[in-house]
Amino acid sequence: MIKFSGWFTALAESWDSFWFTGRNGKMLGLIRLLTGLIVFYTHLVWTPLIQRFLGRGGMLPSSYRQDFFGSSFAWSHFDWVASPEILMGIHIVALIAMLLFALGFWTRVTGIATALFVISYANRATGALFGLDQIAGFLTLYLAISNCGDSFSLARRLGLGGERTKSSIRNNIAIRLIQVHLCIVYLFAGLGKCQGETWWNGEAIWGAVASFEYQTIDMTWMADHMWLVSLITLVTLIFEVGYIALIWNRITRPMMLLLAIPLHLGIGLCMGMLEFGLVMLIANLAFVESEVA
Amino acid sequence: MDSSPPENKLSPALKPVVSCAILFYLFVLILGPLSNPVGSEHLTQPIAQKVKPIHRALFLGHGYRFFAPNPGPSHLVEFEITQEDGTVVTGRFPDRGDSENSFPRLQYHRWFMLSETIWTEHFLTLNETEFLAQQKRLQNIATEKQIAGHHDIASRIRRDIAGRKKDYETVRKRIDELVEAVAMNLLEMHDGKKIKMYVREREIPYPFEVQEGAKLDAERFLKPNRLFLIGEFDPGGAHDAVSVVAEPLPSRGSGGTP
Repeated sequence: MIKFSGWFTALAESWDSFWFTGRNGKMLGLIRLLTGLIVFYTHLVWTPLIQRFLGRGGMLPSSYRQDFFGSSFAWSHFDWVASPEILMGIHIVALIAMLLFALGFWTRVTGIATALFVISYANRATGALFGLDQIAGFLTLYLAISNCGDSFSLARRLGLGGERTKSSIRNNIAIRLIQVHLCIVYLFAGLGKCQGETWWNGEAIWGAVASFEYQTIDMTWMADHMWLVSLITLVTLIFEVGYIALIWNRITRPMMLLLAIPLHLGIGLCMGMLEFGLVMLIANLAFVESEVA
Repeated sequence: MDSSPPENKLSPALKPVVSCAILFYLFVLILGPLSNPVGSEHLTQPIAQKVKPIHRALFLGHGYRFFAPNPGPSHLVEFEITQEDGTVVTGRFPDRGDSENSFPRLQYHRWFMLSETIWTEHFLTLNETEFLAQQKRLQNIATEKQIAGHHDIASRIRRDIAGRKKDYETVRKRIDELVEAVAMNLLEMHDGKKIKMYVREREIPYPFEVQEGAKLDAERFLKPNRLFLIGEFDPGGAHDAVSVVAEPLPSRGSGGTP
């Protein structure tokens, strides 16, 4: 009984120190800057497609999303506004909010606005989404609850806000949520791959690099070096399944962070998903600070 | 970590509240990949259904099965548009050669994901003939159970039949709406009068095929050789006819997209 009580106390203390220790906003500031720029760009790309994809009468009917989710909680401002002119006006406001957030201007307000806009666009674009939207969605959500405006801030440099904050529990909770969420992403990405034969026989990466629709850099020379394909396949599988265990350990963390770079840059550069690759690397920055501290 | 005193110290009374909120959030978070794309109908799916409003409102609840279980073939939507003067225009999306819609690359990727969605929706949904056959089979089992005196089981099967029918109608409706919306936009983009839409699969070549000199975009990797009609629309005509894929396209393995 005494032992159990001691265990419970230790657990409570660990929980307390994991979530409720103060943390400065330096790394979150960098994550904010990079995530903000990525979401600004990805939403800028929607500009010529807004009416064609998202507007009333666009390729993605609102009813499709409602039927798909069976829930009216998948909200989007596109459901409330029909006028193309007003939608474009809101789009410009969204882009400005994202850019201001990235540059550190009034981040309490622009952070929440950015997260809401990202969710709103993602909910509306059901049917044309991929991993990029999912990762950007949770990053902006957690950044919105943090005090991340004081670092890497143009606003602070210009003396227009971005007041220096001390160590903050909110920052710590935001970083911890990014870390835990990222572990969940890798774990299920890895477990999903465990069901696939090609991830075990070492051919999966070939399936990725030899897809004409994905291809941006010709990697078909790898057909002459299938041992390399197998190596990258197995390293990817082990990386994703093992991330949740190895990223928390001080000894193995640098190795996992280093492995993340070629993995995500490879996907980004060779498969035409640079934004996705970059946003995954940005999320990994949440673990870099632990290493520096 | 920073050694300076935290700006927002939590009061002892607030800490349990925030802790419970975090625990609840993490529970909601993990339910996403535990119930999507597949989950236990006896445990995770019913619970995930309860927290669906949170998933949807915060854009959570994803499965994160990037490129799982296998990187698979890609899928194209092909179309044949008849213009007012009778000219027939053909095209497809995604199309790397279409300079208007393939730059920047992210724009191309949105088209790509749309074609993958259209494919997946058709691939995972029985066509009407198959669905009716399935319903008839279940109905026969229910009748057998009824005759054998297992009234409870029979009524459970009948409830299941009704539930499946309702779900099927919802899925069919959303697929038809999606295909029709895409068709109408393609007609507008190409000044068309009538459109036929198809789905097609591009297989991944084997390494030896590439070693022998095959190009990734070679026609022979566009399988099957015939196209599968998913919709035919003539807005100016008497009736907007919609037909659906007659059978799922054969693939070398179930694929996954990021």
